[in-house]
Amino acid sequence: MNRIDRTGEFWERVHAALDERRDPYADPRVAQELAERPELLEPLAELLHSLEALERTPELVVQARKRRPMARFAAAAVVLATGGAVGVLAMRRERTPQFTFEPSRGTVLSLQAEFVRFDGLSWHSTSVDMLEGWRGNRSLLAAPSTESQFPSVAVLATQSFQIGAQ
Amino acid sequence: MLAALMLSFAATLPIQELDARGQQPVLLQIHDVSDLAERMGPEFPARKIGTSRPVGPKGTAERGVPVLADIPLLGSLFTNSDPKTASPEHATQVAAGTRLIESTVRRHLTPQISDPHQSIGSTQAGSLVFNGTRAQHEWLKEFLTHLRSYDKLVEVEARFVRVPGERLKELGIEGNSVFPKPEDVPTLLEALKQTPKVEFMSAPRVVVLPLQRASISVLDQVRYVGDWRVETVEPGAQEVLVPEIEELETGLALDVRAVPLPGEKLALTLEAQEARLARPLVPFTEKLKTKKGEVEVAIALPDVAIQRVQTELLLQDGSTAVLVVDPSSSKDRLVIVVTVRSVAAK
Repeated sequence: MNRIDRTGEFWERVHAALDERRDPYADPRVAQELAERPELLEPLAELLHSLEALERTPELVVQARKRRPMARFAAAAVVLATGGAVGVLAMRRERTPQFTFEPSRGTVLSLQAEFVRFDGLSWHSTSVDMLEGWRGNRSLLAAPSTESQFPSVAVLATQSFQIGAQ
Repeated sequence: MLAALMLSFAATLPIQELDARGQQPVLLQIHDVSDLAERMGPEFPARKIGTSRPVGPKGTAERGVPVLADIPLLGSLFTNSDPKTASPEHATQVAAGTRLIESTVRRHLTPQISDPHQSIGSTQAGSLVFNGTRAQHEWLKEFLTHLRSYDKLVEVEARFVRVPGERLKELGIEGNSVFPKPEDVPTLLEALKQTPKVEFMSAPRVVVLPLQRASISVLDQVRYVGDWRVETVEPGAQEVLVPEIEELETGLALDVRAVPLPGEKLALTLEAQEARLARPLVPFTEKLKTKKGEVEVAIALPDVAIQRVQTELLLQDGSTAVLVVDPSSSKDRLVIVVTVRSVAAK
């Protein structure tokens, strides 16, 4: 299952738990997903925080009181899950990806790139040759007429300089 | 006929043999590669995305110039008894294919051309003319034999990833590199996915016939009012405002060609383009002069970012190259992960 599907399922489970007045952290799938993807903790915490604000409204005070034990349990679960996630993160940071690669000598025979930005009135272009080690910049002002944008341009500045060849 | 006879004769005998300054003798041989050139398929212009073009009245832009040979009765004047091999398109295809084979040999010949007496050229009719040492001739013969017997397809997958420069260093990738082991690629991709602020842009994959050029593009066509003009029309010589509509293609286009080489290697030519349009288009007003005075009109001009990458790679079958491009306009690097492998034709 890809990440998008998993994210969708995660939030479905969270909302299902909330709709059924259950603690979302008690859902094993939710807990597992949080352990694997701690970045989901923040939006989930925000969601629960906004629900807490709702609970503080007078109409919901009674219900909130009734659910206080669950809230305490949820808070404990948040602490546990956060701790677990921090641990997982720490382990990931320490783990260096294990792959072997070789220098590309003789493999990449040529590599040129061009980056262009057109804001409607002017072109800014950067050309790079990563192997030959040169870079050039051009800025062009589009002509007032829009009949033909690129051929009828005026060169404002042209410059090029060396970059370190690989 | 005589020329063909001479060519076939020349192809069988070494015409020139030099041993100047103690160097290896250079032999001349002519190879008929028209059969390989035909496999290239028709050439087509490369698509340039991200640039605007005016949209004319419906149908005018797409309508082509009539081809005389396609007109009944006139057709016989432009075709001979074997239209398949004598058509201008076929001749153009063979000439272009032969030039491609020539440039491939020039690029990958082993040992490489290192002497002024060594040379390679091609004819429009599909012949490769090569002056080289015996070792070079052996490589060329092996290359042509390999190309003729190659019965697989080539799968090319290119993943485009935007990575903060400092994150690349953490991953240990500071320049272009090669992953000889296919099993290492998922580890790299997973590491990239887990890295903050890494953006996976696109990952097109194409399966191509050897020598043939393939193009894949996923595009959005956006039309916008780029300008206005005043036209005077009847009745009554009245003025009307006419919008000038322009069209812009954004998205991704990938153009690849793969040539199999001896030693389970694949020579790959790849061109990728990506154009992004900032949405929504921000309109602004301009004043247009008419006989009745100034009229305000709305114009929207696109804000487009385009990146184009062209590369030639020589990869072992099944291996992956990681290309790192520094656009200098930001701290991010454009990382292209190219995997090439041969696959059995079904």
